Amino acid sequence: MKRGSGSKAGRERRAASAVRVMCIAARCLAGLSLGAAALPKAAAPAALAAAIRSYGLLPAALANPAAIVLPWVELACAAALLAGRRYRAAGALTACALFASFALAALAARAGPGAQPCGCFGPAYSLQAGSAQHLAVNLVLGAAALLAYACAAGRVTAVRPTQSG
Amino acid sequence: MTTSAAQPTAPAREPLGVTLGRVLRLLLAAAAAAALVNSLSPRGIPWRAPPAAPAPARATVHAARRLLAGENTLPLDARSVEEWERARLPGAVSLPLRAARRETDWLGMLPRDLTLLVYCSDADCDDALLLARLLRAHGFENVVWFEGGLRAWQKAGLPVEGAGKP
Repeated sequence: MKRGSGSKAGRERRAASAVRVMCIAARCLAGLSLGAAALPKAAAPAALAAAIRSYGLLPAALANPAAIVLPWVELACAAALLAGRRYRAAGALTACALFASFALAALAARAGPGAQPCGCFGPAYSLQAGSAQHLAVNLVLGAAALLAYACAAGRVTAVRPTQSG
Repeated sequence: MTTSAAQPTAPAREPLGVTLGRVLRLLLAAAAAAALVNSLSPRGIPWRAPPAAPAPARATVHAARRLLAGENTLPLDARSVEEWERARLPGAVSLPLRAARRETDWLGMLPRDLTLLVYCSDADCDDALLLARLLRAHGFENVVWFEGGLRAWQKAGLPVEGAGKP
């Protein structure tokens, strides 16, 4: 049986597999993180509203609406990234926007007085707002969401070379 | 990395306009679900927050430990008396949220010159935050909400008091 065109085809297949694995890993990382962050936040909206208020980035009147809606936006993104195909790119793009906002909030908290829990994964697991770890987590997850978007929107493809024989 | 467009199995690029339309639908669906669950859940919060007293300060387990290492902090347990009897932070006083909302005797009993460190069972419990807000509304200046609660305290290996302490 003859496959592809020798070593070039093999390299292309390996590259395609690597891209596919990266896309799936990025999608799972972003989706699972959002899902894990959303559930405890949805369970304690008052605590989330307090956390949002403590950042001081939104007008106080918007803290409660944001606390009510944010966990569900995160859940919708997680579902779109992990389970959906049609809405995968939309979920990934929204996740990019979320992580970018969170990174900006981390930067703002870094400039502030600090010593506040970030509220990222609900009150149970909270990094210190504005810490290097807080910023790094959001940047890494934002990069994963961006890669997931590029894959889902067809900007990065993992097409296997055509096989002959 | 983009492979040759000639490949028959290459997925079509999704136009940005299509993606943005779907983002909008995703956000609307999330907002609708959020509104529904918030209206049905006992933990739901009002869309428009009442003009409240200034929010209490928040503390991680490390900050709570530092506060309690000093002599100017009184831990307040917002859980039920039974839970307080089982296990509590060292020196903690019981002030269940329900009782605090119903009665006002405690107002004269709490020291106003100490920092009040309010906690409940764990981070998923809102009672401590609500009690901390109530205290702020009653004019207590130094109120700190220990949001990780007893679970975070025990998880950090710190000592507890009570009949059922580990």
